[in-house]
Amino acid sequence: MDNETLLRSPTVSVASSREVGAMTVLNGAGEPVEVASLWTEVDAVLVFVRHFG
Amino acid sequence: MVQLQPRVREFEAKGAGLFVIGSGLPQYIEGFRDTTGYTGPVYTDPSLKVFEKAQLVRSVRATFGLRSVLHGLENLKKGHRQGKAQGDMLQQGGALVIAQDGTVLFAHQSNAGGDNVSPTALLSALERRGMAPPDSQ
Repeated sequence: MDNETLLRSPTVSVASSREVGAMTVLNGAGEPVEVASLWTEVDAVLVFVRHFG
Repeated sequence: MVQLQPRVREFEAKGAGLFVIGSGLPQYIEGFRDTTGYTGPVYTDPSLKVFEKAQLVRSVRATFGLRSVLHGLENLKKGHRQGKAQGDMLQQGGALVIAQDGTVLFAHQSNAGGDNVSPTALLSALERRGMAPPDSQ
């Protein structure tokens, strides 16, 4: 765990931004996007949804 | 997601971007937009690797436990019906607020259906930028 976390929910274990950022996600066209690119220009609020339905 | 859409401008006003990440196939993203009215960036990771790295919960108990069932019944009473799920049924959601320097300002792991973080909590996390991390002192 990084020591860079300011706040977390009481029961949560904290993710590493380096590990999350190294992942890729897909956009609507199916093209890969590096997750870390989401917070290079703005602070990022990542909301993970359970499913699209 | 319905909670967040009306407040997107508040995130923008704080210099933050709101990014939704799901687990369904990319072709389901447009349907998600139609259902929720959300117009911002949406991504997906059917491999669930980013969910794993974000330390989000994936379990049968979280998906079908009493808390999730009660939440589903509550939604039905309100007239909300869940459509056909497009994504991993066992995967729970959550949220991370990450500053431009990589600092994780806030993390939330959902432990059951309906265990959603409030927009207010996410906005409050953005206000904590620039504070010294307590662990580093």
